[in-house]
Amino acid sequence: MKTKLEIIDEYKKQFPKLYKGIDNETFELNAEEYESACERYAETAIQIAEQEANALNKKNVAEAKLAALGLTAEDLKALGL
Amino acid sequence: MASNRVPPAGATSATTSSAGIVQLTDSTSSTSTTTAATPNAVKSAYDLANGAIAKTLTTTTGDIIYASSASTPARLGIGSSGQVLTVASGIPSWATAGGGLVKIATHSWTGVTTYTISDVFSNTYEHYLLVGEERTVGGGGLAIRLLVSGTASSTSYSSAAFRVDLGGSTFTEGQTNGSRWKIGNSNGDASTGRGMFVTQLWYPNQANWTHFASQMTTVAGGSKRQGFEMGFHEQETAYTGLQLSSTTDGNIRGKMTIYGYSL
Repeated sequence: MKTKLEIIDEYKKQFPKLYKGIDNETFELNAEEYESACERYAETAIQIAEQEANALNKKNVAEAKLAALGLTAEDLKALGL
Repeated sequence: MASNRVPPAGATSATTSSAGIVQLTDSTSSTSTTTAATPNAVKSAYDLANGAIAKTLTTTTGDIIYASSASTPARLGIGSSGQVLTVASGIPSWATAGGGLVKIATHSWTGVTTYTISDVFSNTYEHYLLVGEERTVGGGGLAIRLLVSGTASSTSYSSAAFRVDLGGSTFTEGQTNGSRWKIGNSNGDASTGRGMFVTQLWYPNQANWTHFASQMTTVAGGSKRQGFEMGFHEQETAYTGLQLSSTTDGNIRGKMTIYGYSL
């Protein structure tokens, strides 16, 4: 998993400038807003990655338990579970 | 008789700078500077002025003049945004539109991290409908926060969601005290396919919990995600606007129209 700084660096390379819209007008973010937006993006990206990793881990554990019982996810679907 | 008198010998015509003899005229439209108006012409001009509406009757941009009774002009001050002209007790007046949706505003945004609509909720309408399409970048989806005095609330959003990727997974999700509501699925900024949404907001301008529900449908590449999300904002605050963002805090682009109505 990438670190927060790595994500911020990549994001800044991809978007050297960021913008906000207010009532049909567009404004470039000032330096403080830009840093804040990059940080927020990185924190959200990490949070999403952690959630996805947890979900995948739970899925793998559940599949392993099923396999130990000789079942698959398709078997559960067939039972309406 | 005076009208038959002959002007004295040597009398000259009057001008604006010297006395003299002058010819009378009944005209009320002449621009002559050498003739004089008859009482008849003066009366015609007086009658016209007496029958005219004084321009001082209107005082504010948008004022309307109407007859409060026969031959009696009156001023009707401009109404509030979204109000419609109606008739009450036999005279015109402004009133909240009833019996249907009223289009309040259309907004579009592109290449921005947030999009703020400062002033859209008021006591003119109780409820609001947001209809639009979006292309969020980098996954996630379009999200909404409630806003007042230029500040978007970033807590207290509770909601339940049900989503299905056609041919794929089914998701049932819930959040309490979240940072925003999701109103539209991402389509990954695909040039083909769209993310469409219809979002309902109940009582955002009242100092009580705002409720919301959103239907979202997305087709983009291999993703065909359909979903519902609904919930409430656990703050007793009257909001005047909203702020759009991506659930991944990336760039967003899209457009929507906002309608208002009351029950």
